[in-house]
Amino acid sequence: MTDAGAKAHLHRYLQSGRDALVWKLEGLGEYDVRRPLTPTGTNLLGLLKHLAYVEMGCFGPTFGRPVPEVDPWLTDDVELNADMWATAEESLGDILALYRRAWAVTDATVAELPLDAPGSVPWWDPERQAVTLLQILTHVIAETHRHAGHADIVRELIDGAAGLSNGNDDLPEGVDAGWWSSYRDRLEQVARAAGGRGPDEA
Amino acid sequence: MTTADFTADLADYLQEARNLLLLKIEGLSEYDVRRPLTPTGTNLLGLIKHLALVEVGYFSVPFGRPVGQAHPWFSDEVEEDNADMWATADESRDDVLAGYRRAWAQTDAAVKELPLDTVGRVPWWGLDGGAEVTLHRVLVHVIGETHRHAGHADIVRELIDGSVGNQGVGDNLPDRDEAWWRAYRDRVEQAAREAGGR
Repeated sequence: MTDAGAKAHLHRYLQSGRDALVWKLEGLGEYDVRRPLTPTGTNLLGLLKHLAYVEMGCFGPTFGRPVPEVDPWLTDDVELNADMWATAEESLGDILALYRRAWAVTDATVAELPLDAPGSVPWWDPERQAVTLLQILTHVIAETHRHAGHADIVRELIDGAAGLSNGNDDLPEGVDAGWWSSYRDRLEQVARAAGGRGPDEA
Repeated sequence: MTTADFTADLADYLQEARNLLLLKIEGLSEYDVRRPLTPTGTNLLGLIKHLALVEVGYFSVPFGRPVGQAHPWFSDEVEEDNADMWATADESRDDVLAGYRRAWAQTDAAVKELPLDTVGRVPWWGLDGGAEVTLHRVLVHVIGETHRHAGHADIVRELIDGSVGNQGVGDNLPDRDEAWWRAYRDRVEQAAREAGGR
């Protein structure tokens, strides 16, 4: 396995996760991209802001490469969970630009260092701080795709839009809203039967 | 970098996501593990059933390996759309979990036995009846897909009973009580309304 071949595959999957996240915001207004849709406040723009700082931290200071704008997030100077939502002063454009600056940090580190380059993640527990570039890249791919999964559901709850990626929704072909509605009803009935509930029982 | 290092890192991240899926159904009733929570019917047991088929599919035929113990859900003749995304009333939670673990065993055997640069062919990719791949690429693909579905499971579970986190309730999230989370959510909602001119 060559470094170049492995890097190309890994980078491709990182980028597909990033692209999915950005696509999930398309066509939504300033309110909808920020609306918290779960009890813990999950919202689309916050997922992007969080992932921007994840990439900057993971591929900057972890490998001794300074990224000044991530520094405040590595200390305890910021408010709890402030990376998980955009303030009213931060525009959608600001957060997208922040995410793209983070991609540039990551892409430069991946291009310049070998996959076995050693690093140290400042905010992880001391016993697991020592990492390699390969490990961090795999970690960030996994984290980005998991948050893309959050974005999938949040977007669907906002306006019903669903799908894997721009141009390839990976959902059944040729079915309409009526099909989805009866499909969902059927699943609900099966779940009720399996749980020993009647069809109309709460 | 040695092949063993590569394989171990990738295997760890795949297993992490698999474990998350199992964690997300812990403590739920038969009804709750199956309830559709979105307009397209997303449900926890269906995510696990789907991922079992994903693993069986990607690590068998593309590398010339047998599908194995005649996986009951794995067939070229899927009769209806989305049948892999939900468990029927005849399939118990244990059936689905056992199917997922059988899939893990087949994947883990392939990853152990084949070098990462082994070339295979995924018949359902591309427009010309398949695409050439390496085991490495397929493994990274399945890690990405499993984590994305784990993200779906995170939100579905939170919508069912408010449980969140990686290892138990609240793990990897700020350690705060319900009132803190309510106030936090209200604040994010207010900021959103302000930004949206409402």
